[in-house]
Amino acid sequence: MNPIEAIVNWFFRPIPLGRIAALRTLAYLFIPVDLLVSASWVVQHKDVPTELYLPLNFTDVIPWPTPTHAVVVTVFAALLILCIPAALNIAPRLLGWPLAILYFEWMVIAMSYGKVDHDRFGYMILLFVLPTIGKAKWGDTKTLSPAAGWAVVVTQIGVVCTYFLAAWAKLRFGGIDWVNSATITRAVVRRGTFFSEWMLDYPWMLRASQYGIFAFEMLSPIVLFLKPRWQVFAVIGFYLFHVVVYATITIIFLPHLVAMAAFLPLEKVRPIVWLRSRFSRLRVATAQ
Amino acid sequence: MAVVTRGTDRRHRDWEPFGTWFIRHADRGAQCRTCGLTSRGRGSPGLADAVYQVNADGDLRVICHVDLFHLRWLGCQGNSGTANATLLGMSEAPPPSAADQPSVVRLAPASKAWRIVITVLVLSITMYGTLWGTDSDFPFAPFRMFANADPVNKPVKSTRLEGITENGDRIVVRGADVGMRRAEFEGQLPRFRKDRDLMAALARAYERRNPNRPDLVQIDVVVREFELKEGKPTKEYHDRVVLTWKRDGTQ
Repeated sequence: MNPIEAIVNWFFRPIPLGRIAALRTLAYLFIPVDLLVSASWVVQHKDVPTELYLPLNFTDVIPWPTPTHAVVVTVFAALLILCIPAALNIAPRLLGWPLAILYFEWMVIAMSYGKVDHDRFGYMILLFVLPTIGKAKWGDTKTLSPAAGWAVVVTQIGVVCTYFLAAWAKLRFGGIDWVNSATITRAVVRRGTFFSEWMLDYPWMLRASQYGIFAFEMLSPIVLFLKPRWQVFAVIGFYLFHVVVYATITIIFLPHLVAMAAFLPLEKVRPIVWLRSRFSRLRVATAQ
Repeated sequence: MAVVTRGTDRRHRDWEPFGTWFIRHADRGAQCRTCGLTSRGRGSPGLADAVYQVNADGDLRVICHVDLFHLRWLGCQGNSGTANATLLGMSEAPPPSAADQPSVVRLAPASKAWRIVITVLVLSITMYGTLWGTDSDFPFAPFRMFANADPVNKPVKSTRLEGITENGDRIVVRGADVGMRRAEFEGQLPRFRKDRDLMAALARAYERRNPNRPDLVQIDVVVREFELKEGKPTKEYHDRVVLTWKRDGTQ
């Protein structure tokens, strides 16, 4: 096999369609969580006068609506309505495409007022690749699809980019001295918690955490090439990292964590089946 | 008799389905009592230490515990069955049916081609954004949250808005009061500096979001500076009003 063929095959390793069904449910159920809880600030832009709207560069090329009150409210409502049938795996392409575009517009509304976040790259990729696959059944471990393999791999790449390219951004904007800077100190001063504020008295700890974060981000692409079993362990480690970050500086990249689930064998996670078997056993037990 | 496949119940995780039977693999290092053969653990078919049967409720019943080392797993690696005599009915268990075998869906070359093109395109633009782009290049902006290197001896700044209402009360204007996050407001600060009248838009946002509260006649941008020394806050801070907007236009 020549190297190009090997790379192409790496992108199209077949995976069970059940993973796509589970990812759809997870990704689309997260939309209301994001709109109402984790990024509830976005909808507040409906009240911000449009003088404070700073159009993104791509809108020079592609005509794009100014986020007036009506635009923001319409996108908000459409996302909330469409995500429910989509989470139930109904009409995956017909609902998936509009949801991807509407969520992208939601992010344009979010990022056009003076602050741009980078925590949703993987999640946006996930929303755009999900409709490239047709029907998928929950718990289907028998139908292996190369198209699903591609969707999962590019989502994983998006997740890894969020770490790896963040390390590059640190080199570009902060320089190699970023690791010795007071960046985490600043974060703790501005948004610290009970778990982190005591560390302000020990700056070396915060500096050490910067070395750790930088090394972790630079090495993160390794996870793409691990065996599935080790990927699961690595990703559990990633989740723990985010829990610690949340406990210390109250920042959590929830959409990113949703996209990261693409590393996990979600096709084997069957909450409804488990509940049903639990209940049927209970019924047998009470009948006896 | 129901077939419980792996993964539907946590208890079955360690067992390989074999028709309606389950085989539990011998632990790594376990030895056969008769011939001394050592098990290599999971993934070495042919070395099982127990066989179970599943009833209709999905419960497992142990059929046999001992001397199963040489049980052959039908259909695996071409070994045909020489089932142990103690395993009543084992050789009659149906081999895994074709329906249980995974099937791979084909993907046309053209479908692969456009996916590869999109992947390369998006990755290239993302790399470009990281190396040369700015925030305004979203969704391909550099991943720059927390990327600035903050000097260890310069104060940490935290911006807030204070307002004076028609009643003359001084209040703290939170982000949610004007529909903008602190960081967004900080991002637009240079614009406000250049064109102070732009802050009237903030007062209007406040009115829209707080229709039952008195309007703002003045907005102050207050920067709190926490002093740092060698990366350690000195517990000292001072507030500075960096920008003031008044409704009546006076400065």
